[in-house]
Amino acid sequence: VGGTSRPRKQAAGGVRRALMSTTAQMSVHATGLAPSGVGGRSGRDRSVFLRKRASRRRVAHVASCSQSLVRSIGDRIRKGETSAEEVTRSYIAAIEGANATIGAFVSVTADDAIAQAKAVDAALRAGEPLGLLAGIPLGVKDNIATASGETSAGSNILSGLKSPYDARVIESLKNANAVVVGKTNMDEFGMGSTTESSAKGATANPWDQTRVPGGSSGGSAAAVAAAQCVVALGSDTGGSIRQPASFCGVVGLKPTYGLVSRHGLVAYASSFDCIGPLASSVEDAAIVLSAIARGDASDFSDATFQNDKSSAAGPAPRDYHSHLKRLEQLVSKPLLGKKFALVKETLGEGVDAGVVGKIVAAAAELEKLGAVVDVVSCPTFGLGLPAYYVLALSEASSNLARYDAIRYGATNTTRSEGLGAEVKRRILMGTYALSAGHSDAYYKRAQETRRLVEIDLNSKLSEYDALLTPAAPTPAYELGGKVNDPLAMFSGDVMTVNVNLAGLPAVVVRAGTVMENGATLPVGLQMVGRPFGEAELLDVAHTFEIATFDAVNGDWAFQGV
Amino acid sequence: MARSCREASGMLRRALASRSSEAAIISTRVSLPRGSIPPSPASSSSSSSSREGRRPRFFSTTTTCAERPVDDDEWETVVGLELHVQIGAKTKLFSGAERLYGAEANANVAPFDAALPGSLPAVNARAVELAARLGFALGAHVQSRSSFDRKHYRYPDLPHGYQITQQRSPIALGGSLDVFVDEKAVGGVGGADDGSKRRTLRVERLQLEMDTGKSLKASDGATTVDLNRAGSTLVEIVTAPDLRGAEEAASAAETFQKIVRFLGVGDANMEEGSMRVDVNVSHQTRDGAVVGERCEVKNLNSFRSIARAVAHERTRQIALLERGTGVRRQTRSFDPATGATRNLRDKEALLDYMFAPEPDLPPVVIEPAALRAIKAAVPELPSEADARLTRTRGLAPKLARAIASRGPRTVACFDACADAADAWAKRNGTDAPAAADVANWVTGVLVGAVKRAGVTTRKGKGGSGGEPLRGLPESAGAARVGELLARVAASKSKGDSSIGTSPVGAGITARMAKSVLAAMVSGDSRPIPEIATELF
Repeated sequence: VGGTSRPRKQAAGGVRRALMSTTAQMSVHATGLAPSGVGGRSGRDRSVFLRKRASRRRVAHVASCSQSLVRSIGDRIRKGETSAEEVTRSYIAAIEGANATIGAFVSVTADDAIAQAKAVDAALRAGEPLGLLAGIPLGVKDNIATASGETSAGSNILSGLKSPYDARVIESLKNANAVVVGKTNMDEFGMGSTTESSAKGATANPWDQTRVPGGSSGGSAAAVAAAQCVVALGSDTGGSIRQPASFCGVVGLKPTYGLVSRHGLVAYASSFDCIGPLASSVEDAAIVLSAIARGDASDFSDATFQNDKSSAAGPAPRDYHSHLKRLEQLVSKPLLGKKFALVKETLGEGVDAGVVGKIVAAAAELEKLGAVVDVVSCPTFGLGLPAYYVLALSEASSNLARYDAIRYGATNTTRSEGLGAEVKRRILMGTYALSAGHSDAYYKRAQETRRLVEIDLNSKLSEYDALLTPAAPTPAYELGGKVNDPLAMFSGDVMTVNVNLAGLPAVVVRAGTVMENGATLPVGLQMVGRPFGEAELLDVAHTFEIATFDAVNGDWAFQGV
Repeated sequence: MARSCREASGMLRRALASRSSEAAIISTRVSLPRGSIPPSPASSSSSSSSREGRRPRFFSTTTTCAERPVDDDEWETVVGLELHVQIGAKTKLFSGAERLYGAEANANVAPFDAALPGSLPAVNARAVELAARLGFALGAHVQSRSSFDRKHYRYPDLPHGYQITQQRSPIALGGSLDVFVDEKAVGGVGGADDGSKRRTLRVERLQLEMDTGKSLKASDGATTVDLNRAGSTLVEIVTAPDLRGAEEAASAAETFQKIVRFLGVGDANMEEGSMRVDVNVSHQTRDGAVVGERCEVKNLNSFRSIARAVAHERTRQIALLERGTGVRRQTRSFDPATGATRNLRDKEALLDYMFAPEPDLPPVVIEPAALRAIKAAVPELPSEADARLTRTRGLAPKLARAIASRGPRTVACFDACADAADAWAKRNGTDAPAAADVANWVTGVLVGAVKRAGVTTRKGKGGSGGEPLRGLPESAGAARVGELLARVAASKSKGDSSIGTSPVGAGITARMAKSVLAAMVSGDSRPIPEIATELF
């Protein structure tokens, strides 16, 4: 198994060459970089705008890389073959080049990024041993607080908000010397599955610019897919990391609730929200997770703190990447002894046939690697979606009560003007569910359902190492396709929300591509692991990714470089 | 069972939500919705009826109600309290920011206090411990597991749009405290043997909650908001409507203040707002034929205001009840300048607080061992010490109160000295000194010697910090002080006054003992007869 040659054109040098050519091509649109240039349009305007000029041509993307880009770029920086500054400048140039068409970034903090990169170079020259993330350009979802630049969570009501502090994950990544290049686009407050509800305008899918990148972390997924940053942070409340990862053909990891500090994450639904990485390989996602999964005494839902508060210094840093094997280290049946459950309910009605085909094929690949894959029924599967929406929107109505357009962000507007239609819809629904006379019928029942889902999934996980499902019922769909059909939009989350209800970790890896109306579109396989079982889950996902890359992604020709 | 306003509000809110039109008309004789205060059985308040309705004598300001006295005997004033006490002194316990009274507006604001996006609350273990301590001191059941909820309402000084509180599962339930009212000295934790009246006030619950900011009216009519206070931890104490009349209400609040300070839970300073009191006032005829609806008067900031607000409500409510129009259930404010209360909002239009579990904070769990340790560390309250010293040591009530009111260290010192003296006397077959003598020595001579020797190591006001009997050297430990007093007693009873010759008492007189004690306090650790021999 494995060992066959795979596309490896995207070594750092190749990436940079790719970026340079992209830059040259796109330089006429360079003015699109300024947030105002993107943000002036409403989501709808922008969709039209994109559609008009859209071609089916893909921009250069590195998504077909199964090798760690963090390692290859980092190695070159540490060896002095390039500098952190050079890498950072090339990625910023890539953003400038493609942002007018892709719209992945809402703001770029070029000066701060270059200053950070220079500091990395200086430290290297001084002989300091720097970690894997040193000098690696990082995109940050716009709902994660950064002391530099704006943190507007895709909303007009927070437009211009300068956070006085860095989120805990940003502190951790800066301590690891990663370079924050800017903030990525998102559905307003994370409420959406397409990134179209952003006040800054929509983001296009790099695979096909007439399609959505998914959401709400659509900007982060598109940025990684379009090689505008090496890794990115997203947040996942009901699938907001995993579904865009699937739509854009990148790896997305939603950690166990409570593993990564939420400190500095603009809250949507606090009992679901998780920060996690999007990357071009499982190994890169694991490297980022190692940096951000630290106990945080300031987040009381942080499980590491809860479990390990006896030690004053906090829990020891975790390592989710060092144990990952290289391809040549794999034995012939690397997943022997592993058991996976392919969830029957996720392959039935309403799920795209092409998607089902890819998931089943991926399962077959896992079997070839030695694993046992059973088709298993999860009876609670269908209960999750309504329960999730009742609970998440109830929490949202509470969390968003503070946005009165008086104290911070935009103060020249009102609550009713500053919040977008989707956000207002969700606040109203949540308020209704929490109101006296309704909370027993909705909120309480949803809480009970949450418990049922949790019990069901955990009981399956006591028998199986991971659950397998598609990450989304369809590949990426057309921009504007579901804007006027909120229920259709909600139901697209059916694959992911149960995982959030149960607080479990899940990773999305590529399971190949499907053709739709002449467009080649990626499909993601979701692997759901045990609580705090990220190390094992990432190991399995990594093994699958490197060992089956050609088999699964044979049609994943990397073009445009 | 009577419910406090706070607890009842949720139920009543639900009850009213479905029948608001009906609830808008409340007459005095209708049976009231769930949650209202029922006629209190067996609560005939002989203690206070004679004073009911009169302006409390200990207040000198004229109030409007004082000018229009109403007939006392028919109507009974029923009062329950909601007290908000800020925990801890230095930092806000939900956010960790500094909490300094009198700081410049909005100078001490952490991101969480201003509800900045991404900020999260924290609960300091110390806050939980202090609240549990207060709970134990009040005899409440402190729950090993309590949880937080969000209470939603919109107000400029509440930047989150919700208050973190403990609606479903508070940190402590039940408990009570004794409130004393007498003509001379209102309040105090004193005994009941000197003519003061005792009233047992049941505590329904203690809950942790987040404090809000302050809205201030600027001179130009604008409202400004100061968030210095926002994010501090409060304990809210909700009592049953067990109090009768203005005087008891004020006295109960003062008793709470003393306990909070005594336990070191907080400053409980009403002027600075670290203790705030709401009163729920209703009236009923003594025969129970008429039970009026209650009104809540919020944010009273002095004991005097409490008494005046209750007195004003009495006049106002009885007038309404006698007119037959009934009292509307309202939330009211009190204006100290006029002595009158004013309607803030009718409770018929009850707010829907949309209570929901607080997802940012896990339940508070206090391990059984920690719970036991907190309980064990609760000092004996002055009222308890007072009663015990009278009962088991045979001290006169006045003397017992004198010791108890000095604080727990004095009580402990007295106990230890008395025990040591008894033990010495028993060992040597002499007469033990009278408890009253030990008490007088401890509170008089020993304290005086300590003060002169400058042994006092800690200064401070309130609580036990101001007690001088702290940091006594080993040379003046309880065992040696007890021995000294026992020797004095032995010398006295044997009529033996020759120094050093008496085999037991060593011939130490009371006068000599003062000098010996001073030497001991200054660090002289030689055997007591040796010190006495050298000095005389």
